Amino acid sequence: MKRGAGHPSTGPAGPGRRFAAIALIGAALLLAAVLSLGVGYYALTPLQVVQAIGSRLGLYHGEVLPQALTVVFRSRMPRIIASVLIGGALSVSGAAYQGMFKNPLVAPEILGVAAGAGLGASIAIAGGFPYYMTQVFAFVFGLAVVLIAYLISGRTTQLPTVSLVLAGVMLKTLCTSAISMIKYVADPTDALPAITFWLMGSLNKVTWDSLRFSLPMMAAGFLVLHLMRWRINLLTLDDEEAISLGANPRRDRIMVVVAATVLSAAAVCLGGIIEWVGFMIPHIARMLFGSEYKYIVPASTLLGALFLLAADGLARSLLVMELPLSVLTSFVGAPFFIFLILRRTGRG
Amino acid sequence: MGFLTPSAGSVTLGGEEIDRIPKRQLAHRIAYIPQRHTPVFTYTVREVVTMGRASHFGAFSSPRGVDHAEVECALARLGLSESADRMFAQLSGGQQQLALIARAIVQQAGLLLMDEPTASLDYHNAMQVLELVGELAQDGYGVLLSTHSPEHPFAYADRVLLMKQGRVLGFDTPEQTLTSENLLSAYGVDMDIVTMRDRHGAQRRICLPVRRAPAGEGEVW
Repeated sequence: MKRGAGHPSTGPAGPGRRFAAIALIGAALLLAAVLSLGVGYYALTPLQVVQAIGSRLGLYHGEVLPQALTVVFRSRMPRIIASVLIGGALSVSGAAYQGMFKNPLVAPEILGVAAGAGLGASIAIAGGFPYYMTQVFAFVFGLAVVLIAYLISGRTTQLPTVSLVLAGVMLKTLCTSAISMIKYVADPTDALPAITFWLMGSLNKVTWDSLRFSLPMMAAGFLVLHLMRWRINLLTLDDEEAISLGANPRRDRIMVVVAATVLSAAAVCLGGIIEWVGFMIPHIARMLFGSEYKYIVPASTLLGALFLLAADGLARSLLVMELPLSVLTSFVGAPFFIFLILRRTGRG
Repeated sequence: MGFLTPSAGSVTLGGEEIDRIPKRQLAHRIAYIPQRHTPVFTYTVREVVTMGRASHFGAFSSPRGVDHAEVECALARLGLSESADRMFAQLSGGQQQLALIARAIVQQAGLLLMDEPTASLDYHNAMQVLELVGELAQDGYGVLLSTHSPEHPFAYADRVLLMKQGRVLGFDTPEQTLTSENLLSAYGVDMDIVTMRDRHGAQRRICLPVRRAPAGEGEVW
């Protein structure tokens, strides 16, 4: 059965076409990465970018400007890799949270995971801990926030979908206030600017070093979610139904929540609190590919990476001064949220 | 299914305490078909049926060729191949029930546990589902289903357990269990059990609610 255009009752296209579409997004991401290596104050053509990369890899032996090498490898590449990793991490963890909490309105930012991770990171920075401890703190606080939000929503008699979001919003406010307090007492010459940068969500402090520290956590999180991508489908069912199918939803949920929180926390450590990506991208992936997590996981990862790469490219090039990334993502994300709510109520 | 702890006695499956059987192995022996399935996200019929394969591979794997083959086979058997790419939520109640049965079939358990499969179906769909249940039983599946209808067991069941509010009123063949007296105490409705032949000459039993005796026709005059 091929899907005919304008048939709302039929599902998404067959597996072959969906994988082809995902591969296409991957190709677009690669292209966008090369293009954005050239974007910025010192502009380079795509050819110059490819030549610079080629000469570093020993594949191209022609003339390459030393400035081009510096710009591409020292300043832009870490940042671009970071935007790809962060966008992918936030989006795929958002998709995972939505599935395992059976709740399409949650995301790392909405559940308060991002704020919790930010608080953990702030404490570590204010305490002068080394960078890897920042990550550990971010993860522990992020995980604590998810668990508290989940426990609160489980105990309310309200609609669980709404109460999880409300609990998340409340915890997020708490964490942000706590961060403000830490900023108040933090060392104004050293710790304060560092923490402030976290809150804004910006990628201009990313270096090869911070990437190197984040990569293992990111890789572990991506790997677990990628391997468990089909299992997440079963977590969207009632637990009893999933158990009767032979799944182990409690164990699977713990693995998925840990992996998603590791990803969110690592993303926050690297780029601060970037709003809306983790909420919006999974929905777009779902619109394109249906609910099957076998496709949602890779599609969210790639779409999120592409989105944040583009957003960061705009943040760098739109105005003379650099825009905070969260400002841009919010401009897109907040209207999208309203659109989704209206669409859901419209359908009844 | 081992979700509730028995207040007394024990639940055994093939002589084994059901609590002792790991859930994943239990899924290879019992498949549960819920009355309704209302997922938060919109899955296609094929995706819903594929979830029945969950117990056949580990948590870190996705369905493979064998699994997809089983799914297509079950879809074809239940006449769902045409609707496989439609959204589950947009199917009729009867087709949803068929899809859930397909999901149970790919699970490859010998015992099917059905919770009032006909409860929310119209007459046509209910008959279709019951016919299918009969076929599955012929194929060697054990089927345990709950129903409010006193008539369905006559056509399809080997044994009936008649219960009212947790009390067992009878457990035997339909003919032995579903007597006028038992049905009166279970439903509070006076019923006659009528035996008749359908157009193919097959003997059928029907429950006929008895109406109050006419209060004397003479009064009309």
